[in-house]
Amino acid sequence: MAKKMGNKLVAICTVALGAAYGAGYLVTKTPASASLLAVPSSLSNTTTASTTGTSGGSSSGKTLGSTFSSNSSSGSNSNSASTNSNATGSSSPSSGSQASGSTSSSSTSSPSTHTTSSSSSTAPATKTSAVKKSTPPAKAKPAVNTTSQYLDGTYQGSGSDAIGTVYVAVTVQGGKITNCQITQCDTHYPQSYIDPVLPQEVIARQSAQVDVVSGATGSSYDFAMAVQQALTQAQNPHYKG
Amino acid sequence: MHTRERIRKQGLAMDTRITIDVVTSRKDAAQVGQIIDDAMMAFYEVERACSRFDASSELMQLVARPGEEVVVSPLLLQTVSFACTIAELTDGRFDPTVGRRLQQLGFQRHYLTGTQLDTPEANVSDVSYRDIIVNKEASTITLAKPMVIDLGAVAKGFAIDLVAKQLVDFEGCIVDAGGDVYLSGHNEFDEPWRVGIQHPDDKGATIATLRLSDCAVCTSGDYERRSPIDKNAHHIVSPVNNSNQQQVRSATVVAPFAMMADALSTAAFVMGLPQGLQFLEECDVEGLLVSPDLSIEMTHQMRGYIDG
Repeated sequence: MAKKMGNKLVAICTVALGAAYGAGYLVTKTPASASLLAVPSSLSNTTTASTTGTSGGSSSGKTLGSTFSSNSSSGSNSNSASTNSNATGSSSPSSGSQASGSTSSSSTSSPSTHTTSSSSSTAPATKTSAVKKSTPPAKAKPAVNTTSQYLDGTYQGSGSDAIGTVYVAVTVQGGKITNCQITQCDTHYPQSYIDPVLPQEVIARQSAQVDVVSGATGSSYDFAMAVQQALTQAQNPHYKG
Repeated sequence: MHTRERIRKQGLAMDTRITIDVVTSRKDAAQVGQIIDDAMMAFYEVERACSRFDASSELMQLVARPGEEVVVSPLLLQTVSFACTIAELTDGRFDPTVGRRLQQLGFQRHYLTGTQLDTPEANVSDVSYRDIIVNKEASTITLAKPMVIDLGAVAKGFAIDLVAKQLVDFEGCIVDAGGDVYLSGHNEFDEPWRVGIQHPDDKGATIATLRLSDCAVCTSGDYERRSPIDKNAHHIVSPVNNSNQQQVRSATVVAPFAMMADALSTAAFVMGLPQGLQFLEECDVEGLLVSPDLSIEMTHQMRGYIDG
């Protein structure tokens, strides 16, 4: 009896996973067209996601890929807030979003000690804004979006918690939050050598606690500040919901 | 000489912190990072289908249409169906229809947007998993009564499994969603993974260590999320009396799938000692329960996983 129940559950799980796959979920279901943009692979997911946003009516998104690598200025992140307003035809971006935009710019440009992929992930907003500026015709077209609370794009935010300052990149696509990366911890572990192992490393390894803790703090409330900061920039000034 | 690297990516999803570690000897770290990012999207797919905190999720769209037969995605169909199976196995001591009660306890705030979602018309006590009619052939779900379904003990596990399935070809990987983990292969030292079990009273400590691989480890504890409304209540409520049992501090389950470990650890936690342990034996999974005096009780084979 006992074993049967276990087998039954295993079978159900196997079928459930198969069903999800069979339905075409996942498997390289990268942010849809992200891969089409041929973005340099050193740029992270957040970068590609930000260029694929469409709901704001910015058909100019399609052109981003080609101009992508041409612009590498940093620290102009504060533009992202105003750019998003521009994209929807606003002439009066809220001062609030601009303020938070510049806050974020100072914070997001600071983790320069991280890996290239992490630091470059702060670039998309910059590039988006730069590209949109250089293609003025694009901003005349889109209708004012009043139905989405958030405007498409990738927004940076930072906040502090027990482990230090946390940087997040919140991606909005189709007016919905589609993912939220923690960019600060996006780092590589130091290389470790299987053979030969230095004695000190063995000792360090044994005293080093564990690889992962089950039941450890699952709460994300420490990140609320970082996320809220990012979402402030994403606010659609024309949202009527 | 051949080196292995451990590459880590983190994100926020399903109201928790996701950490994915991959062990690989591949040199193209950026590509590996992209593969991890892509795999991680499964969390957002499942979240869009199963979130109780987002009015536009498929789950809450279903909840908004009691009495109707609603066609649902495979993600929602499978998670709801699995939750009902566990409810049946536990004779209702685990029940996904506790959603409204959780809302009342203040667990109704979206972790990213901060918006609160309430469904006051839903049943609190006069509802059970038997009021959920799943038709797998037609891919439909019918809610016989107004209710709020909570998939908190299932969906995260399912997402972990979906992510892990995409990463099993690496020499090793850990998919950690707020302490619910799946581990495959070996760590960068070519050893089985070492998994600590959270100490209920000491955030920085573990109460036991396991050494294992190619399986999931999930822990349900009373220490994790306290109700903002009732300080004595936490996020795991038993539908039997709609209050929290006091018998154990945490329940850990080792199983072949995270969805299984996730749901069964919640069920064992709700059942307490000794029933929870018996139940795990019956389900042919291994587990460990921490009692109020912090003594540990475990299933027969569990000792084989204990490190040292």
